[in-house]
Amino acid sequence: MTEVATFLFSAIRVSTPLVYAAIAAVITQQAGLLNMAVESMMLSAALAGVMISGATQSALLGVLGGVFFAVLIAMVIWYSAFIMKCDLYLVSISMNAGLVGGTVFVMYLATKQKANTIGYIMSKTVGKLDIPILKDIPFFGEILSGQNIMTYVAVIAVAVTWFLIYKTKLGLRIRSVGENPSAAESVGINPVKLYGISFALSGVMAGLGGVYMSMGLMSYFARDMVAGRGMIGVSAMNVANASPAGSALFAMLFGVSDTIANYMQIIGIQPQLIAAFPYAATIVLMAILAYVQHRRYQKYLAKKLSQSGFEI
Amino acid sequence: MNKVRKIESIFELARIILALAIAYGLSLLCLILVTEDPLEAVYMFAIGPFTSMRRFGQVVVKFIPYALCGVGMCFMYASNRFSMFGEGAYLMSGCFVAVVAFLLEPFNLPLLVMLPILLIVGGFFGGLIGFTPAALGAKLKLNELVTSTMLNYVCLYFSLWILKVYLADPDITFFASRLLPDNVRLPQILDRSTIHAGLFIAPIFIVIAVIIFFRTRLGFSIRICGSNRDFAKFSGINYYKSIIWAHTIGGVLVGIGACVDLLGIYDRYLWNEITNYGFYGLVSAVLARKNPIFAPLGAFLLAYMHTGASILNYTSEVPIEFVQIMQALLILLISAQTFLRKTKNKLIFKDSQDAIMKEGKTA
Repeated sequence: MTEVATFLFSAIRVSTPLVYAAIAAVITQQAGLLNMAVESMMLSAALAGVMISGATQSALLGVLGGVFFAVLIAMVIWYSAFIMKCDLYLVSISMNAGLVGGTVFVMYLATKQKANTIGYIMSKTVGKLDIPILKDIPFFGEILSGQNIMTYVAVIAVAVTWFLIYKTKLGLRIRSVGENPSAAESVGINPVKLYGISFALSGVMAGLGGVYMSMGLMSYFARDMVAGRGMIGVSAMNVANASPAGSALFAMLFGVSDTIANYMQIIGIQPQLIAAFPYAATIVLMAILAYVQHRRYQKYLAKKLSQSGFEI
Repeated sequence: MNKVRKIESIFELARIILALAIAYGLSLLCLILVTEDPLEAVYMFAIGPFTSMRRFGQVVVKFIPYALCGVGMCFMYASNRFSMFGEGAYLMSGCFVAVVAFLLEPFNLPLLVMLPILLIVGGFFGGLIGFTPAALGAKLKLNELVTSTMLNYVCLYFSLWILKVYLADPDITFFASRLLPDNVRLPQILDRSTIHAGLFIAPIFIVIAVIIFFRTRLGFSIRICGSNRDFAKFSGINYYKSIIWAHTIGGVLVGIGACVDLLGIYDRYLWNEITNYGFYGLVSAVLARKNPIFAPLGAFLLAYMHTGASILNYTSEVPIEFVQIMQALLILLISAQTFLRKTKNKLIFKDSQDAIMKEGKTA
């Protein structure tokens, strides 16, 4: 039983950044934009978090600084895509590729190291939280209590995002722009402005995820430490059709498969094959779900058509 | 009308040159700020690649795969559906070229027989990786960018697994395959440099690709699909078929690039991380404004900058990663439609007004 609890505990630990990435992708997807740059936002936040908390010796300032830099990257992307009219995907791809080197460059300037900041920047980490009553419940206490504070923040973030998107005026506007930008514009909503807001919010979420990578999951920044997690978040969002809770759940699923992979490595299966597993599973899962949806839509169409007296 | 087009093409060129100047200038500034000996660093970065035959050889050797990837990425970029199949295609074809080279080792075939076989193998696996996300996108409406990025990781770990299980050489301390057999290695064409016969192989494929791009029905439909999707659909072009073909051809070219690169300069197969060649190809394609004729030019510029950076890396302590920021900046500036647009519009406006004035006088 304890093994299962430990397994689930580490699964939650590993999937927290994926949840943040998925939420970040959800917010822009609701506005109709695919945010490919979650990866680069997370990476810059991870470095900024470590450097700022190392300089100020405060974990909170580190988190805020990391989030600030992620939002900054988001705004750069928004500005070049919608004001300077670059292709959004092209900007995102180049940001992802450029910031892998960019963060290493900044890290080198600060520490003369190119691999990681261990021993060079003494940064604070975000602490763990024991939840009073929950921690005494035998099985669930072991899993759910004592996680990093950022993990609990992630749960709140999912709820807040859900509330923001479905229950507020801003959320309605974001969704209407996502549905049909021209129609939204015709009733006086400025799509470009709303794209900016959704990108900034997405930056906040990605920033929190990035900060968790370097100040919660690990206690240092390492070269290219996000390593595709942002992309997994984006795929989780894709699979769950941009619903906040669903995306978070699918992100957790990928976290679980990652943890399984780690455990199987201990058993002695080739680590390379295992490492490929979560990514391959993502593609297959996306394909299957898309196929099911496609079929359902076809059936629905056929039904509608036969009802209205047409033959196919 | 013709004059307007002329102004537009001049501005296109001016934009690229200005973007290059800004990005290059900024990276030189970066260099000056971070090094103790800025003059030496700038000299090494800017002139270094041309100071010796060996260094220039490095530029050429880098140029060959960049050019092939760049032309391949032109197809993807021209179809206007982004997919980052480049890295996966590069790794996969490199890996399988090595596998086939070892499999056929006992037959001891001459290079002239081996080379076409390996090029086909490389092209096939590259094309497969390009094809998969595009086909999934066409059939199931999955976003190619997401699928292809996932696929890249699958390819990376899969090729690592093949390397470890089937190719790894137990006698050496680092993680690499056995020595590639002699009958597959491309001969060097110049003494004292690493320039290899790939320099003659690459242009063949680039020319074929350019002909496909500009002179065939397929290339034309790819370009139409990229510039106006609805127009393509309404004029009866099979949109998804064109996209799939564009990505597959792109993948094939990247795969051939990987094959030529592997056989040309490596004596073992040892790629164990994402190579980024797909991205470099994309940068070349962006520099060439989707035109495969100019993509080799963009690739050469990129190869020159990368060689400068790597020379800096072993002559001084400067982190060469700033080149990556420079590439991102280049893409931003060149692809920005509003960059220099005001000046261009003003010129076109003035020109049209002049034309109207002249017409008024003659009438």
